Amino acid sequence: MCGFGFGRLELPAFSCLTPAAKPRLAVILNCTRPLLAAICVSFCSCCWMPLATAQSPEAPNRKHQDPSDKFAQLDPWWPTPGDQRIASGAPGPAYWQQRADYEIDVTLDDQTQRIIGSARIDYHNQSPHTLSYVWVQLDQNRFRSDADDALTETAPSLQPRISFSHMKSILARRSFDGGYRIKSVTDAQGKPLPHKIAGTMMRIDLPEPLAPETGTQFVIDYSYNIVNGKTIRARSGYEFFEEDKNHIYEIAQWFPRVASYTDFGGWQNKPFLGRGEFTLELGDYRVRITAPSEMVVTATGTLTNSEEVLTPQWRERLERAKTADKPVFVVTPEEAKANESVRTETTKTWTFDAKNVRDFAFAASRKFIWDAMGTEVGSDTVMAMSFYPNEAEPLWSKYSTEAIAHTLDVYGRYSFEYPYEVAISVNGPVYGMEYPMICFNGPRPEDDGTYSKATKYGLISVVIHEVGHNFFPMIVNSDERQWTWMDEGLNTFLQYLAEQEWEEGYPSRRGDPEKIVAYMRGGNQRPIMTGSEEILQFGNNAYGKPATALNILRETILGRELFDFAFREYARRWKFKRPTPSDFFRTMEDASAIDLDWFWRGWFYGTEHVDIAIDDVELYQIDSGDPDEKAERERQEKDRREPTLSETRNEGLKRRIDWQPGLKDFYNSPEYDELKVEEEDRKSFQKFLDGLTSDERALLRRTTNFYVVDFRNVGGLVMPIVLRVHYADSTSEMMQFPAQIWRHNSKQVGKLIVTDKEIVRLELDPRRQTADTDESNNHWPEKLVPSRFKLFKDEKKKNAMQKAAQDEKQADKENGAEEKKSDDDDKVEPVE
Amino acid sequence: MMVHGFSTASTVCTYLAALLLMHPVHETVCEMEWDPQRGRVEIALRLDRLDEQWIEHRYRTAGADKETEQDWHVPLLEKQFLLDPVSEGDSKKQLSGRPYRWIGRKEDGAHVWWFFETAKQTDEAPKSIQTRLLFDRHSDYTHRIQILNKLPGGAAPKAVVLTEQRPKQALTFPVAP
Ligand SMILES: [Zn+2]
Repeated sequence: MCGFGFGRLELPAFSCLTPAAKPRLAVILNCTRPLLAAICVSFCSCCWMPLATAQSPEAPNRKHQDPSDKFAQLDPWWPTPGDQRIASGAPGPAYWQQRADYEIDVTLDDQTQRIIGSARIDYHNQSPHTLSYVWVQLDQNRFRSDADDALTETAPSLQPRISFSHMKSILARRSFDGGYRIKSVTDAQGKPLPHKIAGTMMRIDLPEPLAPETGTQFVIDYSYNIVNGKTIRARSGYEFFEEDKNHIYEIAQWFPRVASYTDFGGWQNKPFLGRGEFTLELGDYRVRITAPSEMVVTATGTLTNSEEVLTPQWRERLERAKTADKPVFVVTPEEAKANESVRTETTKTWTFDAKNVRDFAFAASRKFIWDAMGTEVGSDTVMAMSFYPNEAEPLWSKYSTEAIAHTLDVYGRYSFEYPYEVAISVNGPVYGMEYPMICFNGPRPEDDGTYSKATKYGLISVVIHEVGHNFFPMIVNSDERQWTWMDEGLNTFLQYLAEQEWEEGYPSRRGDPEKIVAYMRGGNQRPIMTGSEEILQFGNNAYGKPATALNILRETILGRELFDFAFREYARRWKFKRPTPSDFFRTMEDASAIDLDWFWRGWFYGTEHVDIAIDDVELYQIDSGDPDEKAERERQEKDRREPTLSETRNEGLKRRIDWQPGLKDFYNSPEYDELKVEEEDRKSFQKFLDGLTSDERALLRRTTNFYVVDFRNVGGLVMPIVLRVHYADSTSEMMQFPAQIWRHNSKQVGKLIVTDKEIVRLELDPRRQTADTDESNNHWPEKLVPSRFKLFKDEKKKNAMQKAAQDEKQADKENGAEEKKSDDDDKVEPVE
Repeated sequence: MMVHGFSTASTVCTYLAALLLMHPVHETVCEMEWDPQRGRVEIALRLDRLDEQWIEHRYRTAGADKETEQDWHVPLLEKQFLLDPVSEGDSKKQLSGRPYRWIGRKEDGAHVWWFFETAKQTDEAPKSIQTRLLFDRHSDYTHRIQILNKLPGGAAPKAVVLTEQRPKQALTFPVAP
C-alpha cells in the first residue's frame, strides 16, 4: 500500500506530468472501473528509496511488496573477467586453448561390423599450466553393459504393456558386446604408457610432466563392435538391409579423443551418459579409412586420393558438379543399385585431410548414391554433397544437397562464412546427428517412393539443423556436455530463420513464440542454464526455449539490426574458440548497448513464464479550474443522473412546505442556485490566469484524455508491454513499453497514455510476439476468449453451413427452389 | 519382491526404429476443458506431424476397413489416452476409460491439433488420466495437459505432465463458483 493519504482525485498524481501547473490544476476523475486498493503504487514509486544495505539482490527483500529485483545485474553470477575472457565478452589478450592433431588408420570390417584402428595423437599444451596426465574420451564405453549410462537409467513403465521395439531395444542393449578394446597405449617410440580407464574416460599418465608450450605424442591401438543403430539408440551405428544384405555405416565417436582442457573448467572429463554430447580440441586430421573396395566412403575433410578410389567417370562428374547450379549425380541411383550385389573381397583405402576441426566422422556403404553441387561462399566454392541409398529416393536427390547449400548461405549471413571445403549430409540409421563437415539425417519416403508433407519438411529441417551445427558448436566450440543450449538453442534459432527463408509459411517446429507457450506455462521444468544431463524436457529446454528467447530478443527487444550485429559479433569473436555462457551474454550486451541482464535472468536462469494482464483502465481529464465551467459540468452531471426509484415514486407527493405557509425561505426560492458561481470565484480564477504564462494557459484549454492503464504481471517473467490501442474514430495504434517499466515493481505497474482521442479498446500482444501464455486477460474491456476446441467446432460448423448453403444453391439451380434442406447442426453433431 | 507379467504390443513395425530421434521433439500438448452445461470434456491435442504420421502408420493400418478418422482415432485414443481409467476383466492388462467422440483435425505448421470430446454426457468431470501415447515410439515422450477451466481468482490450474515413468495422474477441474 501507498504511504500517502491521497486517492486518485488529488493533484500530486498529476503534478508529475505537468510540474508547471502543479499548484492549481485539479483533475477530475471519470473512472471507467472501480478503484483498486493498490493502484497508487506506480505513482508513489518515487518515494521508495533504495535500501542502503549490503543485502544480495538475490535475497528476498521484505521491505517491498515485490521481494525480488528482476533487474539486478548478473555480474555476481558470472566469472570475474580476466585476461583470457574480458568483460566485453570477447577472448582476451591471454586467451589460450589446447590443440590435438590426429593421424588415424582405421579398418571397417563389414563381416563382423567392427572398427579396428590405430590413432596417433599429437597433443599440444598451449595452456600456461603443466600437465602430468592427459584425459582421453572413450565414448564407445557407453555401450558396455556396466556403463553409467545403462546403470543410471530409471525404470520405464512396463505395465500394462510394453512395445515390441522398446523391449527389443532393452534386450539388445543387454546382449550387445560394446565398448572399446584398448590393445595398447604407447608413446611415439612404441614404449607403453601407463593408463587407467574410468568409465567413458581414460587417463594417460605422462612419463614427464608436460610443460606449457610443449607437446607430446601417443599412439592408441583399439577396436570395438559397431552398434546396431536401428535397435539401440545411438549417435552412430549401422543399418542392415535384409533384402540385399548390405549395411550403411555411420561412424562417429569412433576413436579415442583427447578431452578438452580449458581455462574455465580444467579437464572436461565428465562421463558420457549419451545425452550431453561433447566438446573437443581443434586440430588437423589425416585419416586413412580401409573398407571393402566396392563401398563408397565419405568423411569429414577433403578426399586426397580420389584417383585411387574413384572411377574416372565419378571424378569427371565431381568436377562438373563444382560449377553446376543443380545437384549432379557423382554415383547415380542405377550405379548404386548395381553396386549392392558386388562383393570383390578386396579393400581400398580412402584418405581424408581435415584442417582445424574438433572431431572426425565418416560413413560407408555399397548402397550410396552420391550427389554434389558447388556452392559459392565468399570467393570460395564449397562442395555440398549428399550420400543416400535408393530407399531415400526421390526425396533426397531433390532436397538434401539444396538444403545444405541453403544453410551455408543463411548461416553465413548471420555468423561467418563457412570455412571448410565440403558440407555433407548422409542418410542412414541415425535420425539427426552432427559432426564437422558431415552429418547424419534419417527421414526417408515410404517404400513406394511417395512421401508426406511431414517427411519432406522433416528432412529439410533436419538437414538445415545438422549442417547448421557446423557453425555452432563445431566452429564456435561451446561445451555441449555442460551447456546444451549454447549449440542447440543458437542453432535452432538460426534453423528457424533459415526455414523461413526457404519458403513462405514454412512449417517450423520451433522459434515462434506461440509454439513455446504450453511448455512455458507447464511444470516439470528446469532453467535453460542447467547441466545437460539434469535437464528436464530436453527438447523444449535446450532447443525450443532458447531459440524462442533469441527470436523474441531479435524481434521485440533489440530489433533486427541491433540483434543481428551483436549475434554476428559473438559468432565472429568465438569462431574456432571456446565461449562460455557469460561470453555470449556479455557480447550481446556489449555489442547492442542494451542491458539485458533481466532477460537472461528471466529466460535463461529462471522458469517463470510470460503472462501480462490488463487489470484496470482509468480516465483523467484536465480541469482548468474555471468556476463557470465547473458549475456547468456539475449541472450537466446532475441533469444526466437518473432519478432514484423513491424519487420517481415520490413524484407528485404532496409536501408539507407546499401547503403549510411560512415554511419557505430564501433557500426554497427560485433565486437560490446551489451551483451558482460567485463573483469572488471568478475574480480569483482570473487572477490565477493572469499569473500563468501563455503556454500554461494553452495547457489548461486542452481536452486531452489521460488514461492510466494498470498492468499485472501474472506469470512473473518481466517482458516489454506490447499494446494495441483502439480509438473511437476506428483507428488504432501499437505501443511498446520496454521491460524496464517493471523495474521498480515487477508485479504491477500503471502506465499513463495521453491522447486527444477516446480509447475504446486495448489489446495486449495482439501479434503474439512475447509468448504470453494466457490470452484471456489481454483485453480491455474484458473479452471472452473461446477455447481452441470451441473455435474449431464453430469453424467447422460454419464451414458445414457454408457447404450446405452452397449445396443448396446448387440444388436450387438444378431442381428449382421447391425442395429445401435445413439443420446444419446435424452435419457436425451426430444425434447422440 | 513382486513379480509382474507384461505383454508386448501386438503390432510390430520395423519402420519405427528408423525414427529414433536424437534431437527430440518428444512431446504432445493438450488443452482440456470441462463444459458443465454439456457434461463433456472438450479436448484439443497437439502432436508433431511426424508423430501423427508415425501413429497413423502403426495404428491405422493395424485393423481392417479403417477408413474414416473417427474409425481409427477413437479406438486409439480410447486405448492410449484414458480419462478415469479402470481395469477390464481379471488380467488387469486392459484398461478402459471414458468413450470419445472425434471432432476433427487441423494442421498448424509442423504440428497438428486433434479435437475430440467425451462421448457421453455426465455430471462429473473426470478425476484422472492415464496415457500410453507414443511411449512405444520413444520412452522420453512428455504429455502436458493444461486444464482451461480457471481457478477462483482467474488463475489457470497447474499443467499435468505425463511421462512413461508417471503415466497416470489426477486431474482436477475447477468448478465454477
Ligand atoms: Zn542439434
